[in-house]
Amino acid sequence: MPGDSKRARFEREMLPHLDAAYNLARWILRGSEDAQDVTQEAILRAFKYFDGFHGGNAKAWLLSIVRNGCYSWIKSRPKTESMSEDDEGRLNPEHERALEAAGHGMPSPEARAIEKADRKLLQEGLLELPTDYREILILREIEELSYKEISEIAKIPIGTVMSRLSRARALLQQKLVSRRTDQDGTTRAGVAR
Amino acid sequence: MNCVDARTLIDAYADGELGVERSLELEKHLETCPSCPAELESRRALGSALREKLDYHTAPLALHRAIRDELGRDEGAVLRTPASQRQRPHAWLRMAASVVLVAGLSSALTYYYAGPGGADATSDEIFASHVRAMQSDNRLIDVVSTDEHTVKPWLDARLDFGVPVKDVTAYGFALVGGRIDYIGGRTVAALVYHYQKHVITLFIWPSDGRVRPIRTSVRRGENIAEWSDGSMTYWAISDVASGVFLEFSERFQAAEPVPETGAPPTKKP
Repeated sequence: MPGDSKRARFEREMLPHLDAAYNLARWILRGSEDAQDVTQEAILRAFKYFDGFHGGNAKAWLLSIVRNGCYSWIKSRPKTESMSEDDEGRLNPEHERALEAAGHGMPSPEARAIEKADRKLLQEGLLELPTDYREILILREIEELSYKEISEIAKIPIGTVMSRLSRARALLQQKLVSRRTDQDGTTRAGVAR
Repeated sequence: MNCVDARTLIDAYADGELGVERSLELEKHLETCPSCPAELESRRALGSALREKLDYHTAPLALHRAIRDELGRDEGAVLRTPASQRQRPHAWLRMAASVVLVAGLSSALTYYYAGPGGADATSDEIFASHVRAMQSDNRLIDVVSTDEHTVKPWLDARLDFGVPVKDVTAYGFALVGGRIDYIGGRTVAALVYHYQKHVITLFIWPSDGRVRPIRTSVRRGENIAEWSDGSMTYWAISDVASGVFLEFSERFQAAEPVPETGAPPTKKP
């Protein structure tokens, strides 16, 4: 193709994923206005290292750079963000307890409660989740990426993708259901194996 | 398999990421378990609730523009200059200046326009129609012509509104034809443009009267833009690079429609 410079290739292969990149940044950074700067910086960094991209999954490659940019930004800020897992992959006790509460035996009305959860409740629930949970839900549910792609982006083993996703959903699900049943004090029946 | 094991697999199963063997084991458990099927149901409900209700933050025009500017700084004006502009060396500069103007203007209006309730459904239909056309041999072009004065009367004769067909060849976007399509329960015009090897489909129908600036999104690798000039609503879709795509949308928005040729009478908005 005439004029097929590095920039033209970059535009063609990477820029179709700009919205996904920006959306991810917005959600990781909890809607911060800085998402635009962080995304821009990350895209330009991606362009700089574009020669090192030898085909493969453009979206996963770009999102992993954007994600790194977001995490550096978070690190550079005063500590406000919570992460669900420490370096050894253990859960915070707080999240562990919430998950146990969410735990076993979701009666079917819960699915209905989730379906009925309005936009606001859903967004708030998601924003309250630890960063890595929020991120993995966006990658999977919104971007519809495979476990393999998510494992590339977040640089974690596929097994961890699976367990983290499972915890993230259980926690969000529990948030949605408990808010809806706040008033009537419904308790979930614990069900044995 | 017991519930504890089942719970560790249920997400991967819902996501279609569980191997055949384990899926069968899990399904066996689900058949008899009183509580795990509800859990699966909840997971699916959660997935669709997120997809349907969560805000998708599309990149603002300002971000598109900032990135294009920064990228351009490295490589100057050598890039993707269509042949039509190479013959006229100064056109590029003039164009760059007016793109900035148009873009600045449109971003000054709103940027966070949240789509109407039906926007997602419309974008689904647009996407489906475009992809269907791309898969068919003739690209579903009913009237094949590079001449606006052929395409416009053909469409006008079959629709209850006058279609603003515009000439944007100067910017490298060549009209190749049009068709009548069906989106959101009404017949609409679809104009088909080419940019190099890429196809851009532009759907047009009468709007609700509100003016809306260009709003972009991406769906499975296809860029989508929608805007409204107060009399018509426009939805464009293409897999062309997003910078080029945005330029198409801006160019089309700014161009004057070709005049009526007098052939079939149309209701002018």
